[in-house]
Amino acid sequence: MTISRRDFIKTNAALAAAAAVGVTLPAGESALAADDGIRWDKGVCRFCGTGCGELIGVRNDKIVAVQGDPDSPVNKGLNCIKGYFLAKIMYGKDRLTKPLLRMKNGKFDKNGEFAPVSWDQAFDIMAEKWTAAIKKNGPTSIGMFGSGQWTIFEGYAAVKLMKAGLGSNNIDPNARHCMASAVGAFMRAFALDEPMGCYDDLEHADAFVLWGSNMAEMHPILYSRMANTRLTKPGCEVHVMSTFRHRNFDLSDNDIIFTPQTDLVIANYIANYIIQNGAVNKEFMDKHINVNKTTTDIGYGLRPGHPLQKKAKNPNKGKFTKISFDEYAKLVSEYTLEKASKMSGVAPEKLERLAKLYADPNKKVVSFWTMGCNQHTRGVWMNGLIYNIHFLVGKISEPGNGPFSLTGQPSACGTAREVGTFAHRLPADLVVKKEGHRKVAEKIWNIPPGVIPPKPGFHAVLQNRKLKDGKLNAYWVMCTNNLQAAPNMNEEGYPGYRNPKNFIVVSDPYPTVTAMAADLILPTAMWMEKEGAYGNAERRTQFWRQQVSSPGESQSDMWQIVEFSKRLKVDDIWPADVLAKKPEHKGKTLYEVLFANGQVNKFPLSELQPGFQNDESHDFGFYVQKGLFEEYRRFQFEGPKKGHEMAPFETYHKNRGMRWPVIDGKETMWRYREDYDPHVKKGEGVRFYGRKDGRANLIFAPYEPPAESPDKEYDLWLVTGRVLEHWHSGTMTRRVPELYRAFPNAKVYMNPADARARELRCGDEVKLQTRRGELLTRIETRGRNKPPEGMVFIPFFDASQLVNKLTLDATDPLSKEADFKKCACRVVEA
Amino acid sequence: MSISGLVIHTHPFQAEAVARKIGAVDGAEIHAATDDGRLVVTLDEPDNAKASDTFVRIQDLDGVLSVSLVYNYFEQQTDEKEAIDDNFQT
Amino acid sequence: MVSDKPIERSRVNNRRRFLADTARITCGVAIFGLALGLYSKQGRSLPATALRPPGALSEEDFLGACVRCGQCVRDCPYPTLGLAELGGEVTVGTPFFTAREAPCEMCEDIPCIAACPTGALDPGVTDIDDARMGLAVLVDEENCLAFLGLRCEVCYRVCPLIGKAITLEHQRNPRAGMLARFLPTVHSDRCTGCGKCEETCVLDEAAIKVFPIELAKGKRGSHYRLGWGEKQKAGKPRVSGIIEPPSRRPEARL
Repeated sequence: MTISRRDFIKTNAALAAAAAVGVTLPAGESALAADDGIRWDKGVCRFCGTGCGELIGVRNDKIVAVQGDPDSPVNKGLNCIKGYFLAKIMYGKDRLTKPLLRMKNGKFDKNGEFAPVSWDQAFDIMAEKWTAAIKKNGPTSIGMFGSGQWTIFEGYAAVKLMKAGLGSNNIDPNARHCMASAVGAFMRAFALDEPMGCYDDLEHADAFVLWGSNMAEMHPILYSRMANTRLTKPGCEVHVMSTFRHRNFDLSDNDIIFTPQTDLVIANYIANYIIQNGAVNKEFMDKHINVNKTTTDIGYGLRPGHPLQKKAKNPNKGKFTKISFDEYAKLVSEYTLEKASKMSGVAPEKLERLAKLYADPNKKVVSFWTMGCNQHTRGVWMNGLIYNIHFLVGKISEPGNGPFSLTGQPSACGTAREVGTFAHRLPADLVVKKEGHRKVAEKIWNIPPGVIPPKPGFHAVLQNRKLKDGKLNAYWVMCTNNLQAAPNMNEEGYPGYRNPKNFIVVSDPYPTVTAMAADLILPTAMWMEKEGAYGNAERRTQFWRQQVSSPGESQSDMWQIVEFSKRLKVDDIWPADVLAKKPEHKGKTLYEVLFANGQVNKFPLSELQPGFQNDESHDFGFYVQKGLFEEYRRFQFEGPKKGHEMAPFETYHKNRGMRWPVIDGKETMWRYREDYDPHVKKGEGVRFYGRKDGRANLIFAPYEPPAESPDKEYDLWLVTGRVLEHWHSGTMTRRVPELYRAFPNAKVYMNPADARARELRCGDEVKLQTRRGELLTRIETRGRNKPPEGMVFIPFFDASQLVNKLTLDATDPLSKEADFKKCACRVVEA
Repeated sequence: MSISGLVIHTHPFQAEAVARKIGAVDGAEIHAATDDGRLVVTLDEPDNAKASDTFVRIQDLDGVLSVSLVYNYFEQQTDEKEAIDDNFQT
Repeated sequence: MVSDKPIERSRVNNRRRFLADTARITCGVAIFGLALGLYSKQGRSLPATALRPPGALSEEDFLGACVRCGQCVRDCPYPTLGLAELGGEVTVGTPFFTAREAPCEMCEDIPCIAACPTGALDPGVTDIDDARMGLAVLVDEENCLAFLGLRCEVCYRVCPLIGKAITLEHQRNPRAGMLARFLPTVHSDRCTGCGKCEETCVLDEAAIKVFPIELAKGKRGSHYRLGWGEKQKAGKPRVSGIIEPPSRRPEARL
């Protein structure tokens, strides 16, 4: 019996007695008595893009408890089951505490065994490999793979190191697998990234349409808010679209299970219905929308030699051209109810009910989507087709009306997108292709013109191909488990990592599949072991202070990035003619140019959060997070694009987050709408100010078939995805014993009729095979997911069943995001 | 270990005096008091027998109208082996 | 890395092992008397944590029919079924399982019933969904995370009869305002008592437990019948021929 348990019981006794007489105990009393010296501070959940507010309880330099923040505007003190176990994610038994290098006879050897080395040794060999690669093959031979789980500061430091320091655009985040299609469509339609609405739409809407989002399991708290609206608002309805039946259908008023890829048909049918039935909001269309059509037959983002790629007329072309509204009406007119029903396999009355909902001027509709639309070989098109529907009826940018793409990672928005850790981007929605944008970056970063290459770097899938081909030779993977998560690891990823020409570094708190395939593993401080900031799906930026120390010699990603920059000299990296344009940088290290440069290091340690540690800042001697954030803010205010403004650094340490643009200390809930968005002037009503003409683009795109469909040999659709209990590749959640027990291993969900046809029973061990590989699993015919005949579903969290050995690396040709939802497989007895 | 949550009714004008006396009782702790003279108290005693002694003592204090037990938590401190040995002796 | 090996289960808890060990080292009449006492105690009912294999007859009939051959245990492909040891609360030599440690995986071909030579496990049960090994009961609503409004519902999602044996009742969460609660609700007409829900409950002590049916279920007296149920069962009113006389109302309202 420990003291704390006794105190806990005593608190319960006091609370029970107090409740009996109807008094509330003084807050301090219950907290202190129950918590026994626990210090509580605000934090953010480490998992999905919802961004639930948490309170973090620390005692003796350890997180001993977590609670949902009862005053958080996102989750009102509640959590999903992953959030319930947040206190345990940092304390897995196999945390990495020392850098590990593959060695033989005391020297690095690609085929050696992992042995502990010092940080000095680790950075020495990295600097050697990086400098050598640049000298030999130029800056395109180095690369970095980052994360939507990086803090904003870390993502910003990484972009800066790669683009402003190493002169390479080969940095891409795992958000490429997750959000790239959404980004592509945002940029094409609005020229500004991220949703116009916010989570308050969940309470304002009269109806919800889910276009490929299993919110019930993947955004549990948002689902809970949607369910509450469905239960309490008279007439509220939920339409659920998916290629298989999942838990969201529990709440569905209109179940739509469609043949894979025919969401393109359904969306065009709805547009056609709206036009045919005179439901177009003509005033809105005339004032705010340009009508366009996109180039078709664009291939599947495969290697150029692939037969499908050769067959395509306009591979990877994203150009769209202006057309008249009548031309558009004619293009969608072929998508009749009959055709849509026939192609999608959905009953006509269900499709018509959905179309009527959008057409009804008296219903406020929010469309949600996640990976169903994004991980799609026509993902950018599909995202755009949803915008088209909202444009036609003018249901956008106001409370309860709007298209809303949800994110899967805690800072896919805040870090990967806003900070611009993509191969083609710069901070605050700028792109490397535009000279004007590069100039802004060069000015803020005080680097000579010519350091940032105008050509976009290698995107995620291309990085793996280039590794395999030996073109990408020094490669750093941070804060992500990409070998498990990227498609087609058998043919591309794994051979790439093990290619003797390449040196692979992986930074992670745990020995993931990716780490084990690396040459050097760097032990990483995670989550509350560092000061951080995340940006969630509703543009909310949330900060936290460092709560505890990290174990052993582990260090945060940011420390690793900044510390590594001390090992690199501009003279070795920049071409002489480029360096000559800023001769004052001669002889400097990248650390001196990028970080200790009078700008990032201008905030002294005296400004650190009082009472909290900040390991990196103490190490470097300045408030590094603040310096990076304030420099990043210059992009928001000095760049050519308005609308990304954030509040000063200190503000976020005092509040529960704010939704940008933040102007005059006020956040923005609905963008592009007068009175809500400070960038829309009085009298303008709506203005899509991302483009000079203030208008958004409706872009017609037709149906085109998927890259691979079932055939005689491989007769089933393979759909991969996630489950509520585990987050992505399971690095954290599989180390929580209770979550492990709740869903220990992946299994393949199959229709009972398909199982019977193969003489298989529920629980049987089977081989799941595609043209690229096979794995052993068990079949489940009873479970939470119920695929239609001809389809199987398998989650990818399980490191003992690497699902991405099987998937095809076909991508959307525009967004380069892989389609994890559609390839052909077969299931045979093991 | 025995932990109880009590609600003690007192004469409102004697509440303060009662509270002082209860405060002096070992293991008793006052958590709240209402305007009408009710006190929220916890008792922390080694076992239920001692707890009931204290309970009676509080009841007998001047100014106490009634004591009600709202919550009781009791945990056998003896380990399992002794408990089973006890059973064997029958 | 967490291992993929099935959980090693201890079928005998410490107390039982202690009793067994003590029995071995003590001698004389006293211990014989004790063992006899244990035996007679065991006969009456199954302890709350022990569940019989699928198709088991009622406890009394089962004890009569089971010959303690252990064949059902041998043929169980999972580490689920075990044989009760001396000194435990379950009658020695009979098969049982503990849901929290290793639940029934509900094999479609039910190998345990097929193995039973005596019919103690009823061969009439051919569809595992018809088995009634016990009944899940959400025993602790105060600690159940779903009742608290957290999005857990692990028990629901692992239920082999998801949406049938356990459903989620959607409710407002009055405390949190804008969030809903999803309350796991067990339906006794479909619950097989497999124990998956109890096994996977993420709490330190499961909030949902599977009990032998006689422990889990209440029983209404036969002297009162539910009016709505009877009417539905019969497909018509139990008493026919009763007429509904018209009431006088203002014409316009009709």
